[in-house]
Amino acid sequence: MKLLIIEDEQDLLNLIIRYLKKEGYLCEYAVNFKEGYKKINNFEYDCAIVDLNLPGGDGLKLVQYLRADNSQVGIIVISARDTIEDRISGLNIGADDYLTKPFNLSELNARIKAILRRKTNQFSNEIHFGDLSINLEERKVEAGGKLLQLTKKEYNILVYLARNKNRVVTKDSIAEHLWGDYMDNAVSFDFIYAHVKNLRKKLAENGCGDFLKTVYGIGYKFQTH
Amino acid sequence: MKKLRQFYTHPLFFASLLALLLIWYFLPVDLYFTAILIVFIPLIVLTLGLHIVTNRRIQLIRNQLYQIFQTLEEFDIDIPQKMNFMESPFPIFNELNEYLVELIERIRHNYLSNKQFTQNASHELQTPLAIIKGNAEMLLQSPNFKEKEIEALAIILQNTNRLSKLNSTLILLSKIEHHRFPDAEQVSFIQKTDEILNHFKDLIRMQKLVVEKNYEKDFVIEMSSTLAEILITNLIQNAIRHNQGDNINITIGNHYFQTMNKGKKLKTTPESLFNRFKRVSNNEESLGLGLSIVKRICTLYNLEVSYTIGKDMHVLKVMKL
Repeated sequence: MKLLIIEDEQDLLNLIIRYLKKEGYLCEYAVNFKEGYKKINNFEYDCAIVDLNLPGGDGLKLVQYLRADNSQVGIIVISARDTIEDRISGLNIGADDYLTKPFNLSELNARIKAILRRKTNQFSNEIHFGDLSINLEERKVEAGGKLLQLTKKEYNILVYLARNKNRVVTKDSIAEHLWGDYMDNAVSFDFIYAHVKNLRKKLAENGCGDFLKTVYGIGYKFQTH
Repeated sequence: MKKLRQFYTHPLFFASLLALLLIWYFLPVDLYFTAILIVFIPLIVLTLGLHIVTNRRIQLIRNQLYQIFQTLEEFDIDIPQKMNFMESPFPIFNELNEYLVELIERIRHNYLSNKQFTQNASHELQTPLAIIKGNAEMLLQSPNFKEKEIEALAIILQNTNRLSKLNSTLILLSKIEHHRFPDAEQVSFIQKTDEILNHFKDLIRMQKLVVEKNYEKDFVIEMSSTLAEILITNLIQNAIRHNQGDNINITIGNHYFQTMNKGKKLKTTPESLFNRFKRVSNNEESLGLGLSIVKRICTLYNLEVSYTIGKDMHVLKVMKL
């Protein structure tokens, strides 16, 4: 999987690259409009992450070029502009997703995976861990061959954690993933706690290993080893 | 009029009057009497004339001043329109107008660049915040950290989130103040409220709250749909957050929207909670900006918002003026 990251802020760029390399992606980058334009013209990517405020031009133009150049490429816009109008214009022009700064890296990671699964055939529709299998297409979870009855929120938490497997995912980021801004943190943490507890129970009842680890005070981790 | 005045005030006019007086002084009485008549009648007429003329001029000056007041009253610092004073027949007023226009433009310029600065600064803050947040998140993945270190990281992350929320709320406030939500449509408060309550479904269930909906009639206003959503969301969130009872009440009528919840006694006046960063509690979740955003949106659309407390019930009401 080859990714292109176009971001002018060097620290943020390094951070994103470091995080995504650990996931096994091949990462290339550009730090301004011109470089981004060149890379788009000369190479093919599976997914591009584009900042909007770039030296030398508007990132939205690059999104347009990317889409015109390759209709299959996944495009995620990352921007400090956060109005609905900005989002709509970004999505209309061809972006698949829009993340506002400051975002959680785990969220970015989950969204890249979701887009790549939709866009390319190389990503499986199923996630397997031991006895556990998650079918993303049908939104079904099986443990030891038995179908689990999960609520929508439980399913979403499980998939979010699985997409960030072997990483600590903070409660904040889970809350934001599930509800956006509509939740008070203190309350949502209780809620997440209750959901994870149920999820664990359902997994355990079906003989599934304990994948969900609690990182005290911080969040959770989907541990496979 | 002007010529007449010039004639009466001319020194020659006075000189001839004086000559006439002197001549008639040495003549017999009835002639003397006639002379007095001859002199005083024009004088009375002259005084009356002058009085009328001066009055008219005062009236004219007053009108000119009123016009300036009126123009100044229409002035809104956020609307980038040049002040348009009427041309006056008095040069002094034109000078005053010119001075006012210049002064206002200077103030507006300073005000706008100040605002622009706040907005840009808030925007620019988002990227460093993203970097801090991301790096803390990276550190979390380190397997060598002990509990104390992880705790410190958790605090960094929590406060970065708080800061970024605060920051984006300030950006929102500044956008509302900048009139950056120009699109207006007919917004049905019943429809919007139901949509928003749907978002709060989990939160409401979690706190075992009962939401009493009391829809008398729909409240429909022409406004930005985004701002309507923010307005209603903030009011409902406020009612849920500070609720001390088992239920909250939402009433919508022909010309108003109202939330009601049981709450604590306030130490300050309810009205002061519309000010920025004014908070009732040390509630970590509350930024102290929710109600000031509500107030701002209401001002923008000429709505009146009031906060009243009866017994221990807190009532927030938004209504059409």
